[in-house]
Amino acid sequence: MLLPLEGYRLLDLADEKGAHCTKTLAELGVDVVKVEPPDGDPMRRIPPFARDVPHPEGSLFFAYYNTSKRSITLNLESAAGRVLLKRLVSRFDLMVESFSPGTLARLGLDYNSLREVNKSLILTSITGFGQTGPHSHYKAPDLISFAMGGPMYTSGEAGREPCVAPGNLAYGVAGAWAAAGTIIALYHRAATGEGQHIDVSAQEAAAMITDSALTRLSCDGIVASRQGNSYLSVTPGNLYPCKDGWVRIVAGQIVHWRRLVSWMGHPKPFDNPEWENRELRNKNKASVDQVVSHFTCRFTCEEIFVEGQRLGVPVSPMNTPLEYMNSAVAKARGFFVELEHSVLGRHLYARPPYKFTETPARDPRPAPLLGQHNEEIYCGELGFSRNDLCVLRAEGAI
Amino acid sequence: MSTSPLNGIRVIEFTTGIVGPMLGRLLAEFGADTIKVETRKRPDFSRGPAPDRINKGVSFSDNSRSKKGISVNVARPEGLGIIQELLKISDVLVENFSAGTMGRLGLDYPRVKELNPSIIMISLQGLGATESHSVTFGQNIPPIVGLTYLWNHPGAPKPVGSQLFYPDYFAGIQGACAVLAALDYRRRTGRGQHIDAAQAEAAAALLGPYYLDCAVNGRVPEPIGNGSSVAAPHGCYRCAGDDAWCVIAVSNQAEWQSFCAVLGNPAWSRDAKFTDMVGRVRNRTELNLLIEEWTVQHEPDEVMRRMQGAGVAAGVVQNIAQVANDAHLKARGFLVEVQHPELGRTLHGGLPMKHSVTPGQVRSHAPLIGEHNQYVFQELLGMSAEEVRHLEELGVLE
Repeated sequence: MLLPLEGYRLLDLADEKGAHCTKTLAELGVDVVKVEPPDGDPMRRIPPFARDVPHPEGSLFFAYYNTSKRSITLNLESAAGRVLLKRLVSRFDLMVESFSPGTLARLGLDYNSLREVNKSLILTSITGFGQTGPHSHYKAPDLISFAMGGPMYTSGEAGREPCVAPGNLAYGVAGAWAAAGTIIALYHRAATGEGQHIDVSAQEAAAMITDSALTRLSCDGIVASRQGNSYLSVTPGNLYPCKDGWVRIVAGQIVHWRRLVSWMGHPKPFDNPEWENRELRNKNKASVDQVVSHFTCRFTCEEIFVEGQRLGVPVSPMNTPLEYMNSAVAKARGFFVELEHSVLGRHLYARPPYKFTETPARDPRPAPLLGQHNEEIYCGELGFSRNDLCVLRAEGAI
Repeated sequence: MSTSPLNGIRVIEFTTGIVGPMLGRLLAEFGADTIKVETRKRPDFSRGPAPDRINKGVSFSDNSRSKKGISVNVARPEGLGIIQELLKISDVLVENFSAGTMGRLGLDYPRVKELNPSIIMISLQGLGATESHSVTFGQNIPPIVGLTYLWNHPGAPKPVGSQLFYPDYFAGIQGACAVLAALDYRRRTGRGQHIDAAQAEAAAALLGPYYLDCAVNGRVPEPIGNGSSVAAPHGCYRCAGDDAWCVIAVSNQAEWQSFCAVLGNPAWSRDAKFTDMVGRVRNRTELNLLIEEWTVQHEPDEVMRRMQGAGVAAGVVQNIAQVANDAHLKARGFLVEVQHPELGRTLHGGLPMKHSVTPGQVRSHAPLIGEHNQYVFQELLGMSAEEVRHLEELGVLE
């Protein structure tokens, strides 16, 4: 069965900054060929490693973010390598890169140069601050983009240092925008034959998850700060203690508040309808939270979750990643699937985050070994012989 | 607009809150005609609770900008009939009501498909369209998938929490990737489909390496806060000023030397336990305290400029007022103002990506309730003014 984007082909020159973008496109059916330097993509050096051994094929970060992709080696620093890249570009629809701005131009591989060999090429660039503007040359690992975009300032406890989100969130969000933008460009190309260059900024992507804070600032002058787990505008809206951990309850809407009060046995004074006013509850956060905590700490997380969901109260347990893997909901959804990797072995991986009726996502393929598909691409598509590959290797081109 | 790639695509939204509206907005800002369906009694909850403020919801004005809006009560047979006619001439249906709600309205996928076999419908529930028992939305998702557990300083007893409504903003864009891919598939095959996109799974898609760590190494990964297990300095440091913080990330020895030069090569930087990366990572807690002794004497902006000037990744932990005044974001045209009939001038984050040929753009203020009734009922559906008046009198267009 066809996947939705089956038939399109992408050269992936991006490191971890673009990994979520190209993974998303690969899962939707694009044939993604990862172009790695001869000593391997930088992601191969990112922990965690299988059994904590930093083997080139052992990075679990690489293993996850490169499922369903193929791998070739190519040395962009060599003139012969750059010639090979241009030959490949003429055969591909898409290219994604995350070098610091100006790098491709230095190599003679900027968008205008690539356009000469493929006028309908779509080039997507994902960087911390984008291709233009006074900070475009700034170095920007995820921590920097997340801080500069605004979401970090409101994450963490009051009085303590802000805390960055786990999982390279700024580049993850940027990757989703970049993937969407790339498909939009494909749609335009189908109508006109015209390619284009897309400039994605992780700082701006991070600013997009700040709960309309820019609009709130312009309307109400509000500059949100850190409040730990307590949501300023939602009461009850906090992490509450259980016998064996924590649960989150978010019951700002009136229907949820009513159900919660009933579940707690109509504690005074909150059984009075005047407490249905959310502003009143927001002003008396501490006393509401105290009563809710007093209630939740009598139960286990599982008891609270099951009963709360049965009663229609928005409550969720605080799971570890392992607890989520073993949870009833992950199992009911079939969210983790087993993949066999020739070095790492057979393990459970998170599958793509959607289900299509017409084009069911096939199970991902395991991440490629370094240069695993050199022969398929260089011999199968560019017409080199096996001995030519040895020559290209010896001269440092691949 | 000839340069809008999604021109001619009509999107119908049965959405509330953030995740669905973000998806419809993205499509609108690249040319789709996105029409939001509400009623006065049950408007999008982000319009705000008070009836006299129905057009003044701040997050609504951001999340639903660039769209049209109609008010139709689909619980009435006449209202349902109008929506059925509208769906026949539409391309995409976006919904994020509680699982099962669209079925009760008579608008589940099998029935929508009967009206329009080539339509693409996406459902964006918290845990997925199959989990009809669940009551979850943005703030409940992070605890379930392990994100809240991981989002913490090392060794802290309780997760630090965040004011963000993540993953709504991300899951909507990830969902847009699926819809856009399905649109491209439909362009090539004529076939529509239903997409079940769970917000929890979108959030989990950025935690893949943590799940693999559980699966491969049989352990639960520990939160690492602002640190890195393989590089130091890497963290968030207090600066001069009120609640002022910077972030710094040093990734190799050359950057460490530049970093030390910016600090004026203090004596402690030559201490044997800090001179190589292994020593710095082992002794990072002590190292961070020494660094903070320097950063507290400087404003975050100065730290950023001096560090970046020396080739070291650094940034300001910007609050939203600083984001709104960020000269770099202004130079890139990221910040956009919209004139809203009831809110006045509102500020927004535009689009975090720039297409060289088909740039997306904020097209209009978010619709007032029922603002486009006449356009949709008379122009699109060809109803007479008389018919519309009759439906108004019946209370169908409330």
